[in-house]
Amino acid sequence: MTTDMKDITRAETTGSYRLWYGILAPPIVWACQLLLDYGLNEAVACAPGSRTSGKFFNTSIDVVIQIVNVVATALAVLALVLAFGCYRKLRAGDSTDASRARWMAIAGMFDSALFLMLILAKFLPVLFLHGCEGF
Amino acid sequence: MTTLADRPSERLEQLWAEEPGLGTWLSTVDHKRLAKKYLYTAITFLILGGIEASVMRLQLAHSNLKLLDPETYNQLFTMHGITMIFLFAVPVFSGFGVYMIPLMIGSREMAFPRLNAFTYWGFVAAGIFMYSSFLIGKAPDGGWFNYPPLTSQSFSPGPNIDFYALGLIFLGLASTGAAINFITTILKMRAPGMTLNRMPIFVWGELAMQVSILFAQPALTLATVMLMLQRHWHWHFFDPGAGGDALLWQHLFWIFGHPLVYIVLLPGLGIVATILPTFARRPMVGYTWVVLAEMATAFIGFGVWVHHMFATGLPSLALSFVSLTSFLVAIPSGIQVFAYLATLVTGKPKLTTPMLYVLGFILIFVIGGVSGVMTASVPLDQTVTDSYFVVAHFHYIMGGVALFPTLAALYYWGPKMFGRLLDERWGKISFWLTFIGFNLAFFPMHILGVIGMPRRTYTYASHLGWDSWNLTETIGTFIMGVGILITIVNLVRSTRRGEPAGNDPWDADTLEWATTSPPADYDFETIPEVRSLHPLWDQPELKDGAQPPELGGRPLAHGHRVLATSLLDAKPEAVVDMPHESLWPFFLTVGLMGFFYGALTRIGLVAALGGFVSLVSIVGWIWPRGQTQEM
Amino acid sequence: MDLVETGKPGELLPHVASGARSLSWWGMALLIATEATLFALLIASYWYLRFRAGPVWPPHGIEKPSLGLPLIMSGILWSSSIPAHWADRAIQKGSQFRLRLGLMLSWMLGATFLLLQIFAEYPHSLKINPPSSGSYGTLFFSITGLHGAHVAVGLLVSLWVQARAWQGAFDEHRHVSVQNFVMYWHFVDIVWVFVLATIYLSPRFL
Repeated sequence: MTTDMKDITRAETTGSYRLWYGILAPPIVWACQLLLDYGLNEAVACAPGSRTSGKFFNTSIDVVIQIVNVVATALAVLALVLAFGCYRKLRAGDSTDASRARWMAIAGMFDSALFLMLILAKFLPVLFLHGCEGF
Repeated sequence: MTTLADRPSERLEQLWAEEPGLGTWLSTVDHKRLAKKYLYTAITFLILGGIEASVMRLQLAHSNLKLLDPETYNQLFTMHGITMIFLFAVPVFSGFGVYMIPLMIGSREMAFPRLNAFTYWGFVAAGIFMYSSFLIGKAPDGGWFNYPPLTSQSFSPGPNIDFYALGLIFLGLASTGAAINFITTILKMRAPGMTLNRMPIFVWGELAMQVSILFAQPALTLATVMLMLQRHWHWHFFDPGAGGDALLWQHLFWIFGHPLVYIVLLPGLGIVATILPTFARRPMVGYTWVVLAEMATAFIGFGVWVHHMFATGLPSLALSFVSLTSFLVAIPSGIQVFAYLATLVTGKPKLTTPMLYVLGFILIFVIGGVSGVMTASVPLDQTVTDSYFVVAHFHYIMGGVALFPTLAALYYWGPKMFGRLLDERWGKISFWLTFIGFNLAFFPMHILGVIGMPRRTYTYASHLGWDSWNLTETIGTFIMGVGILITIVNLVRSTRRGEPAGNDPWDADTLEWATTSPPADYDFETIPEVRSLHPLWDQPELKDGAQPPELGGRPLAHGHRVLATSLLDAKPEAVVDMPHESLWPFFLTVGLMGFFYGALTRIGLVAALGGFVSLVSIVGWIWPRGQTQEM
Repeated sequence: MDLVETGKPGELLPHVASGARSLSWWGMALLIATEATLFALLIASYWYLRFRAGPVWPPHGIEKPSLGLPLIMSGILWSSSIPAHWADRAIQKGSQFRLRLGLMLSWMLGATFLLLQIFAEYPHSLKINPPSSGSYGTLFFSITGLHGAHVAVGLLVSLWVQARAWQGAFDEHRHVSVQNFVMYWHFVDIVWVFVLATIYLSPRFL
């Protein structure tokens, strides 16, 4: 008996896009949201080099930030939904592989919930501070 | 069919043994020998950093003392920070990882043994390079975060800052190599059956640490190269007069510097998550939560660097995003602490020395976390920035997460590495002295910070009323020093006179305890097949010795070989030949030393020679030798 | 195909691995990840300093970068990925001739890129915006220089791989070094997309 020559690692990773999305998407979405929210404010709208002080393509920076936040929230909720769906499908299943996959689905749910909280928190600052107010 | 009767241990011994002694001292690639070198060197730097701190504390014991002049004081606090963070905290956890990761995952080696050797030699060399600055009295003196314009050529014309920048670039090469080695090992060399959800928490912690190093190190490398180019070739990165920006340094430094503190935290938490269940006599509560908290903390740590820049004039809206995130990053850490507490409360805790250090860690880490959450608030931070409050915060965190887990691990894993138990009574004494001394040394700093004592000041006036707190801190420092010294003496004595440990003195659950103490050169007589998160608690055949082939044990005794397995489910994929001892990693380090000294002194011939030796060493290293399969 | 026993009854495993089964492949992938981060941070530094510099970019007195030579260089560099990819596929099927030819063509195109940069582009740029003239010049030479250094290292590694190829070291099972080199080379080409966009195109279009 020889081991299947097919690349096992490749089979494992490409066969579970939804599991990976649940785990990896929330942190990546959160990071992009943070870089955009922070970057748009500090470097783009409020920097000396910005030609459109306080605005981004003719829209107030506050509005743009909230749009970014809405998109981020949607993507994170999607991750939670996908992870939960995977978990439901994998609930029964005794083999080592199945239990590992189920664990990844659970990890995806926790991950999505945690990062969703971080993503939602970023709606708050625009409600209190605006544009390029310094200190 | 192979049976246990024809034990392959003799053949394995021949295949894996290195000549003991000086012959292979420079050329060893054995992960256990390299790990011990890492640990000895890191602890030496701990002592050096401690001496630096002690001298500073003597200077600060009373107002208006003249033990040190300001320039010397600047060099001491800069080197103390560099030493403790770069030369003790990060390498000590790499050292424990190099020893324990292969054992915990059921492998015989790390993925790249010669790279492993290079990362050790590079670490020592970079440390020596930076410390050689003391010989000419020109140690780095710009603080461990080295801000321009103070550190630019006009304000720091001497070689001090060059030692800093070049030393850290050198160290960064070693760190990056180590990160690549660790990550590949953890992802691809786990024992068959060790799926991701059966990986011990310490392994997850090291994975989080090394992935963070991989992505954070470039920021520091970039910043230090930029600084060198500006200082000596007059390029313009940080000087506003020519279009540069001093904050560019701060951004790049802290994009590295904040993940750095999680790089130190996560393996420490992993050690605690290893020791605590063993002495609580039950598995860790909430394994999945804890693993996720480790990984999430590492990731979120990349997004909060701006909280080191709250007092630099950035717009408030931008700061508030970071402030919020900095508050929330405490949540995964909190999850871990609650998991620890739940494990303690539902277990049957045994207060051995390692357990005491772990409990001490929990208290100290929580206090450090509280002051951290406080400084996440922009208004509060702007009041206490650059005061002793911040010094208190980061010493509670760093002392908590670097010092206490290290000491715990020496008592816990020392017996595995040296085969002998440490003295338990002296261990407890060392704990109480270290713990009490630590709190005496650092708690009053919160108060001093709030009443106005700035950090990095070499003395203070007598009418300010700061004398008694400072004296307390100095006394606490020395008590703590005695405690740490006792641990070191305890360890050294135990290697000769300690009680033999046996394979598994703690009745623990992870795979390193299935080997002898110390492990044989080949670690495992058979590579075990793992069927549980707690192999030694759930698979009785592992406690009796080598897992027999009928139950999945793989002797792999036909060569100097290890098993490569798949990423998620650790299914066997290939058999990999490992290299034998080699001097090339050492020669490469020597070459790089020459290159960096040449760059420091700006003697082109020395740099060129160093570069040439490095190139020759790389060629020698990759030169094909019959048995290496891939190149 | 080289199969060896592990000692577990009936189990045979490959002795030579390639692609994601191979340890060295992961080493290269992780090296690329860290180097990609280095470039990302340097390019982010460009944008950071540009935004802080004010609305005029390039700063007064410096002309916008000309596009002719850089676009030619880009074409040459990117096309070098094609014979490299071809060589990689070839050795996976066991063809020694196409491996050697592909690597050689790729090397020549890469070397042409580097020579054009050092001997045509740089002398021109050193006259109008040397690094010591200000942040614009500094950033120009930092970014293109870091990229060029990575090209140079790639060319050296390619020489090594080619030497091994001529010695017959590779076959349809044993070729991970070729894969690793080609992966690195594609990485260097992709980075140039960002360098071109940032340094040469963005001053004109943004």
